Amino acid sequence: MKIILPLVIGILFASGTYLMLQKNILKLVLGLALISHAANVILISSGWIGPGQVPILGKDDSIPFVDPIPQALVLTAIVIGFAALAFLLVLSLRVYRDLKTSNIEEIRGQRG
Amino acid sequence: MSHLLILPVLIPLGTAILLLILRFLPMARRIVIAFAGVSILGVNISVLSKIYKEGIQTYQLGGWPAPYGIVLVGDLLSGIMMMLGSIIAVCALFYSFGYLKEDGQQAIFHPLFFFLWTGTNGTFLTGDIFNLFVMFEIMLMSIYSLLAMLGDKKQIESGLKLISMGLLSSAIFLAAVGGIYALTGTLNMADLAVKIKPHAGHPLVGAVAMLFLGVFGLKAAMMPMHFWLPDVHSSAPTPISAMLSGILIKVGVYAIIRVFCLIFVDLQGAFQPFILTLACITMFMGAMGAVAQTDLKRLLAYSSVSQIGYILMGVGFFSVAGMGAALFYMISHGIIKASLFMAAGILKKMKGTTEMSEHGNMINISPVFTLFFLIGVAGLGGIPPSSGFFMKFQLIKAGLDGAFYLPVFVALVVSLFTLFYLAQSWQKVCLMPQKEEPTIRPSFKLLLPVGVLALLCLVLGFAADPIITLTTAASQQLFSPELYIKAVMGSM
Repeated sequence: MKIILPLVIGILFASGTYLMLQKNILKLVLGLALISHAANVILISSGWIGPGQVPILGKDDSIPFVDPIPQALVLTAIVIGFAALAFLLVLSLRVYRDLKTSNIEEIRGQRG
Repeated sequence: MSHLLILPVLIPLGTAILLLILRFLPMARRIVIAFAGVSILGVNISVLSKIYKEGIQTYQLGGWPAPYGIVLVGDLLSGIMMMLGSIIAVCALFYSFGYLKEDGQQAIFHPLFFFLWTGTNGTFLTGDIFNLFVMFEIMLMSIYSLLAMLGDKKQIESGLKLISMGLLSSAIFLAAVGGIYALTGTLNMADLAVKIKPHAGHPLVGAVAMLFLGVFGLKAAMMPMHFWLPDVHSSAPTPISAMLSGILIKVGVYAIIRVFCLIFVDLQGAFQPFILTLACITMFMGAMGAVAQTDLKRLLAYSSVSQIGYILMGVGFFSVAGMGAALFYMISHGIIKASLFMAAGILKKMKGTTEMSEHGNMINISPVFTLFFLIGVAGLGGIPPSSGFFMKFQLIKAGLDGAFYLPVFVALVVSLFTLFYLAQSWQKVCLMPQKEEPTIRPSFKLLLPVGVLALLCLVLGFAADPIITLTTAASQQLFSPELYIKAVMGSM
């Protein structure tokens, strides 16, 4: 596991970045989604690699505990990311309807 | 335990929800907005005076003790920033009544505006790094919606840019929080400051500090990450432009100050040349961008980029004088830039565009407007009776005291450009003859908030002394982080 998780994070970041650099607006959205998932995986992995003190009352040190805080954090982060992503999708749809294109190069109306 | 400190977050949140319920009752909405605006301003004044008299205030949410629960911490920096935010927000609220259409637009605008206010106040108050992320997101979500609200093509396009930027930056923020949590096992900023000490020199600490600088620099429009700002600030509805340039880019600077003066104190020296270099490039390139603009709002947006460079320079000195100067600069720039954006909004209302070539002869159409605009130009250009002189003077003085000659030189050269492009825009809009007379005159409702902010700029100039005392005290507090740590952890 110690090697798989960093690999997964790396692949998610790399493919997200690759997708973001494409011209299609939908690929931009997917790329951002992948990158926010990569961040979520980083956050959840911080629960078991660190020397952090787990705030559990009356815990028995002989049994290994996974820190519950990153799990709570990642839940919050997922919800927030979901809301922002949904808004981004709606906005992309609006862009497509208004400008009749999904190519990012063609919707650049503001310059300079 | 006094509940005063939670009120700046709670009142706007409650008001926003109430305004959503009162959607179809315009009169009731207006009463609620007036009442809420005044009470938030009042609460912020009492919070600031309490912090000034009694030192750093803390509030434990839900009564959970410090390192485990979320704490709200009010030190002088957060008090000053909240005060600045409230002044600009009240003016922007008043302005929005004249600027937006009565029924549909205002009913959407005002609840979102109060959510935005909740987010900014929460950002300034929170003492927990993950809660900072949540408050940032509340702020950003309202900005996304407010930006795309009127639905014109430019706004949709810049909305797309802003959301992409926001999503990317929150992903990086989360990665940084994950890194720092893995290292220390805590999220409370005061606790972090203590627990990160034994890890000094660990490569992860530097990496996380760099990630935080990147994220907050993106929000503050520091140079390599400034690309989104001119589009977003110029195409937003004007009351929101005023909020964006007045307070929201300073939220990024606030977070940089908070993180580097509390958690990464040991890294200040290592990051100093980096921050100063970026600050110099930011102010220079921002000014260069502004000189080339023909649209007044776009010019002001580029000018914001340039001014953020000045503020970051003050922060980058990492000295009491430099930080105090940066704080004064933030207050002064926030007020002046909000008034200038609102003035540009009046032009937009008159002719439907802010292209400077379409406007002119404002000195005969509305001498009052010309005067307010001139005060703003003088303020940003740094001409004596306005607060702009003191903001630049203090910054330059702090730079010379610390022997940072190159940044000071760049700052002086750039301030020449600032005066040039602003004076030119004023001349184009107010003195040059106009192609065709506008049919709409600037209304009193729109001129009043601009006038109030312009007056504040002059007051800050004539009575700069008490404000400088306040910002210096705030800066001294920032450079003794043990006060902050004791206030948070001592109440365990």
